[in-house]
Amino acid sequence: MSTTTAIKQEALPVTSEAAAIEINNLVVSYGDKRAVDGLSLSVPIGSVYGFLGPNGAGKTTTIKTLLGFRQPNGGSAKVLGYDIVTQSLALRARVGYVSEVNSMYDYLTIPQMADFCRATSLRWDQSAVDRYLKMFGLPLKARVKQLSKGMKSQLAFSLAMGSQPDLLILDEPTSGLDPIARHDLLNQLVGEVAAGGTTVFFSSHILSEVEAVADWVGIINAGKLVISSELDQLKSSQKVLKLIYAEAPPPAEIDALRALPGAVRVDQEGRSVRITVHGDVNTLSQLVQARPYALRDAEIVDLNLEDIFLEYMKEGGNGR
Amino acid sequence: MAIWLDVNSRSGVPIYVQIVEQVKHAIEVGAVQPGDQLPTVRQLAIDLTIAPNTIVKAYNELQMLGLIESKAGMGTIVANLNGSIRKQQTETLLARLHDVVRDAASLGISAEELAARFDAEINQFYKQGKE
Amino acid sequence: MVAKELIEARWKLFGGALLATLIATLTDFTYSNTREMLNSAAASQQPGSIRDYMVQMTSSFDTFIWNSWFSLSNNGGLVMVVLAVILGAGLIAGEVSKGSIFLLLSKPLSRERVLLTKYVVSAAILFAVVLFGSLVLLLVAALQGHPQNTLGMLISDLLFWFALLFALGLATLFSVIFSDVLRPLALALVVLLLVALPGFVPGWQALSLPSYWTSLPAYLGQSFPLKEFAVALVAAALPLAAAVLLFRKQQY
Repeated sequence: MSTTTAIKQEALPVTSEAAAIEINNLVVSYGDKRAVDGLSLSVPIGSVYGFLGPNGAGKTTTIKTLLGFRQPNGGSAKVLGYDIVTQSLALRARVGYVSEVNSMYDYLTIPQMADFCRATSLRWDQSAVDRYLKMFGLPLKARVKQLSKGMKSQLAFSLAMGSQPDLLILDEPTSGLDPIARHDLLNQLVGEVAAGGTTVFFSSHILSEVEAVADWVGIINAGKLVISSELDQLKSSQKVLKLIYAEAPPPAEIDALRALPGAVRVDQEGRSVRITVHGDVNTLSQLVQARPYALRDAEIVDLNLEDIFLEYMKEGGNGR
Repeated sequence: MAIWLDVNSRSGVPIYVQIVEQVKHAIEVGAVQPGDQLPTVRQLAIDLTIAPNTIVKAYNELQMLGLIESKAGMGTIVANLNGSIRKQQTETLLARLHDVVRDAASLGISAEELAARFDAEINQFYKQGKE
Repeated sequence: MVAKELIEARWKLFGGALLATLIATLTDFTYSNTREMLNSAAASQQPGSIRDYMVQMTSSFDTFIWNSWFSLSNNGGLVMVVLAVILGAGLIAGEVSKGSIFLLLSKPLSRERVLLTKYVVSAAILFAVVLFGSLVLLLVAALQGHPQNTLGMLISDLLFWFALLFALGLATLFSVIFSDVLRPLALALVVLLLVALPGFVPGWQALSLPSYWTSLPAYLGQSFPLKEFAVALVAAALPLAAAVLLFRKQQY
């Protein structure tokens, strides 16, 4: 079997990549509908990047376009320094991919599946595959048909690691997994894959798992990037300031609060005021306390990823 | 295995900050001693299921604070700077003393009463220590 | 990838080979029956033209074998054509409907390579089945005391294989366009039927592709069907080329 010899003979073009994935103003349409609508995004090398968004936000379409399943209708993108349109083959040689459906060939056994992947990959490390298969406790002689959905995910992941990828792209890798299998998979992801230097880019709509394992997050909605940031940075810079006034402040004061630097959202309910802050919350807190309305209490509240995600989705809904 | 490390990824406090604070605390209370080995980045990533870069970031911060150091062949160890750790421990203690005085004042306890209590504590502790 | 394709098509291969054996054996044995039937009283009731045709076709054992085996409207040919269409219809649509296309396309293989590898494996399976069937045919005919022209048989096999490649290419083309297996299957069969239609119109024989896919003189070893080969080759290449071009542009 020598389907890949032609590529093997010529060395992969050398690239000097600055980012594992660099997307510039990407547009991907299905007919009239723009599934990805001017997306720009950068995934740092060595990161574990959680790609978040509600269902239908364009996550899967973005991934499909990066891998050349679809052609972009506008914009450009580079993966590991390779252009996604003109250098798709070289790109795919260095990227491991686990699809959302992770459909494989039902009639093949696990070893036959591994043979197929080896024959269609440039590099192959069977010992790595065996190690993962053993770790997940997959029945080695079984046909793909006999595996549960969770086992198929584990097999797809093991096989993707066989090609020694520099970047692992996973589309909803934990959907259909029970909590233990999910934890095992995420553990392998951060412990083995990421610690081994492979960049991990995974889409998910489960915020808690992204929060647990990712060090970078990107949120997209309606095909556009909402935010892309280091997770710790995001958590440090996004706070809520909860204020209780001695008496309900007048609307003019609420407008004044809105105008303060870093305040992106102000909600009032009687004497309680809630300010969503992007940036330096301490300075803002001092500014608020210096204003002429007496405060009973001022509390800075940390936001977890879910809070942050929901805040951004609300802002999106307000047309921001 | 660092059983004294316990990260809550769902908290709003950045994870690397949690790690830095907990390692600091462990050193302060003596849960880890100078020369003790800290888990490798990979091991900690697996134990805590968090991205290795986050741990690298925390370790870098701790290294900048002079609390830990990387040694070839030994991994990451708690720094053997007895003086600086002692200084830090003393500072922490004095800070707590400061807090106690402030809190007592806000509860309306007079300076004399506080001093008397303090003397009583000292007497009791050192008397016990001699026995 | 070849191994995977072979494993996937193994039942089609075995089924095709089995049917071919069966039909080849039966073809050899039905000759005398058909002749007897023609001479019987019942046959004389048939309209003259059909009767003349049948008499001509059964004029010799060799002609009869050629007609039964290589004519696309007869048992042997029809089974092979259907096998070709079944193989082709599933090539891409089968991967798309099961979702495994994403695994396949994520590998560092060009679309052309993916499609051509699949096509070549199917073409090889068809060739193996045709060859196997005609070997059985030769063997049984020889045992019955009617040894056939082996070279003529091989040349006819090759020509017939080209006809099957047209069917395979056509089904492959539809397999690229549609995402389910059934529509490519049905459409390919319909188009094949349309292609055969001019053959039934007197005077339009030259427009009928099937008339190029088989040659009695070639089978009997009287001439080499050069023109037939040229037409069949072009006919086989066209749908394949269209399928490759389309697959290269297809969005998944």
